[in-house]
Amino acid sequence: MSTPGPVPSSTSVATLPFSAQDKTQEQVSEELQSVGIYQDLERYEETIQQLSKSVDTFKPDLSLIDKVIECDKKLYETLEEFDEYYKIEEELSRLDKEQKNIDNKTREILETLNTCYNSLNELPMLEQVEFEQKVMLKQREKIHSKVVLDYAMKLAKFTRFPPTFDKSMIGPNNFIWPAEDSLRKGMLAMASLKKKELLLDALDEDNVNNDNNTSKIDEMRNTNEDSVDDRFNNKEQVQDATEDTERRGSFEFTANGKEDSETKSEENPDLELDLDLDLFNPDEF
Amino acid sequence: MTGDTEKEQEPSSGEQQLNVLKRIHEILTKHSSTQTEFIPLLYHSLKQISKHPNNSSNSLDAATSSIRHRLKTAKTLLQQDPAAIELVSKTPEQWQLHIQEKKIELEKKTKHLQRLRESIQKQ
Repeated sequence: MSTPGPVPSSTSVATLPFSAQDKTQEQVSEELQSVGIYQDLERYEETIQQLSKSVDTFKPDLSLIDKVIECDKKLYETLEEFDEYYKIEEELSRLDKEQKNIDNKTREILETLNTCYNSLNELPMLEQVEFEQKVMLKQREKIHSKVVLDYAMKLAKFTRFPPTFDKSMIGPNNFIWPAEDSLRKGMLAMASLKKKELLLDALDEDNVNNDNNTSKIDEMRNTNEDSVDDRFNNKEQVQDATEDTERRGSFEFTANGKEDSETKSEENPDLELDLDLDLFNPDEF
Repeated sequence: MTGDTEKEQEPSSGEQQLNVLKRIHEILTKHSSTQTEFIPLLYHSLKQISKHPNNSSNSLDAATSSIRHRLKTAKTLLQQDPAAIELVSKTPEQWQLHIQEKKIELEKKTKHLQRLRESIQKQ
């Protein structure tokens, strides 16, 4: 008679797939009592013990033999079911593998989706990007006043605006006189309109000047008292006066134009007097 | 690598249950010429006792000790394996129902997964 080998250590509770891992010893023993094969084994063991006791005490109980036969029959019927349990176990392990495979795939898909969701969330929203682009374009359309002023400072002749500049006015209209080319155009236009009158006036002036010159020559002849030096001085004065009048033609703008001219006349009153005498005599017209 | 080899070497839980059930089956049935079934062994012991009733060494208790040992070993194997207990606690019919339910559940999961994959591919 051979005795069965020791129970393998691989049948540990820690590697079980079922929920039996979480069960306590009492629950396992309760569950074990309801297992058919275990009940058969216990009943078989108990019956054999009773039979051996009855035989050994020389009080054999034949009913126990029937009971043993019944137990044996029941036990082997249960053992025959083991083939089905093998198939069931194989089917369960296959389904378990399939379930794990599906769960892994689902987890992978969900992880990928979650990663995509996070990466999409990290990207800026389309509306926000469009809004920012619009703002940027609007800012580019506007030129900063400082840039314009810097550019104007490069082009400008002066670093400061003129004191007569009226801020409410825009452009060269702030000057109190028309521009030089406008003046010229105006004069030419007027001249073209009053051509005949001007020509007649010019002819009259020539005649009057000729008369004056002859009278002046006579006077000069009469007054031979003036020395050559005086004449020379007068000529110099005349030249200065003509130069001064020529300068007046090209008027230079200053802040206090009138005051400047007055101060000039105050500084050099003799010159003004000479100018009036030599070049322009309003009484003659 | 070592972890993988250990996993490969270790039998799976299903194999362990099958091992336990197979071992119980082997212990309780005629596995070899020395290990016979219980009834013939019992019959042989009773016949020996009936032949030599006055022999004090012939006792049924001693003769059936191997039967009781085998029964006890089978019980111990079953006690030590809760997974095997859970497996044999239900009848095969109950397990078939459970397997059917699980198959339906897996089929639904597979369909859902396929639908999810299709919707992702469409987008």
